[in-house]
Amino acid sequence: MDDDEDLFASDVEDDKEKTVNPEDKKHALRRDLRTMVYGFGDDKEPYDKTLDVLEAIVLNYIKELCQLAMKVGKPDRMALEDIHYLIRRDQKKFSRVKDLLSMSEELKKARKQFDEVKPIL
Amino acid sequence: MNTSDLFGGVSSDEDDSFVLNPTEKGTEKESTNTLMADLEMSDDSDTDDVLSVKKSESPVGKPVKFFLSSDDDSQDMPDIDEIIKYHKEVSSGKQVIIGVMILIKLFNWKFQISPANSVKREELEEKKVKLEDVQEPPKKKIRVEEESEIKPIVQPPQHDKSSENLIHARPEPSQNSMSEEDQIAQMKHQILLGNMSTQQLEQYTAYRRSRFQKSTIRKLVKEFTGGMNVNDNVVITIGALAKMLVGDIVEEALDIRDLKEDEADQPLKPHHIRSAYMKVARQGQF
Repeated sequence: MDDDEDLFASDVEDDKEKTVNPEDKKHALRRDLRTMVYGFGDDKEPYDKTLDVLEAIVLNYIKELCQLAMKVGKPDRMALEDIHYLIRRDQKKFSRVKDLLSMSEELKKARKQFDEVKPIL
Repeated sequence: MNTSDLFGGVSSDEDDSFVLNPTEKGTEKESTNTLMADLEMSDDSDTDDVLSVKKSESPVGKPVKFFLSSDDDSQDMPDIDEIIKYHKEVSSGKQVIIGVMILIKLFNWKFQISPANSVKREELEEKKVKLEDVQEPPKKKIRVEEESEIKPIVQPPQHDKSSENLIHARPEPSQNSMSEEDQIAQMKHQILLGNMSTQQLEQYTAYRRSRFQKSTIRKLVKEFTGGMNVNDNVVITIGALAKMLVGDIVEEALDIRDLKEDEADQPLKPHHIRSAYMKVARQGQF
């Protein structure tokens, strides 16, 4: 009986993994990566294996970033402290991120204004 | 350059050459202009204003300065300093400076320029970069363009590329006066864009527009943080950092690949990427 239950449980888990894994195998990063890589100077049609490697690198990067950010600051919270983390690392990235965020703020404001104007029109 | 020569020489030869050239450069110009249009926003009414205003204020007394060499070869890069001087002279006389608000490509996803507008813009661009007519002084559209290096990754969730409307949106124009450097930088940027080949333009578009989907990043972050909800800003930031990382790696990889002649023509291979990654990581990740 116990064995049956265990088997049953493991089957369910396997199903879950099966549904998750295919997603992982072709993460939506792939399409965007292709365009990105072209923009940065590679061919229009990069090799699949190249994209694989890049995708793995990016995923790994994001994972490490998240994990480190969790450690910094309040426990169980991730805010913009990870940005400050990067000051020490990369001036270039830091300034770019800063500009980006300020611009997205401006855009939000502008969008708000636009939405206010729209009903009038 | 002797202005009187150019002034006199405007009539026949130069005109002919520039009538011919637009056709071959037409497609380039169009793609430039759609790109420029994407990068910048404008308003129909504003364009009209510009045209009407500029027409009425054609300078009569001043001999108009032209930047291109007197050769028929219009492919030469116009002299930037000359342009700057000229624009200074022009702008000092003009009081109406129309500021058009552009932001960045985030707005491009949302708003698009109508074809009619882009045609007008094409005229504007041509007149700016090529030889200008005597009667119509160069139309100057001052665009507020933010930092050109930004690679934003945010996409408003409701707006798909497919569902873009041809909305002419113009948020309140920012200050009319832009700093000198900004103006110069913008003009340089436009000249650069105007002189790119089609393939380069494609690549530039890809570079500017590519980004990781916000939703994907959010999902990943949730996964890696054990289901924590994160700010919008955090997602934006992480996406931006990821893109920059890709950029660094690809650039390094390209350098590594180009070191060997035989591999130079092929697309990047995994071992290039791996060595590039190790190099970049050594330069200081965490």
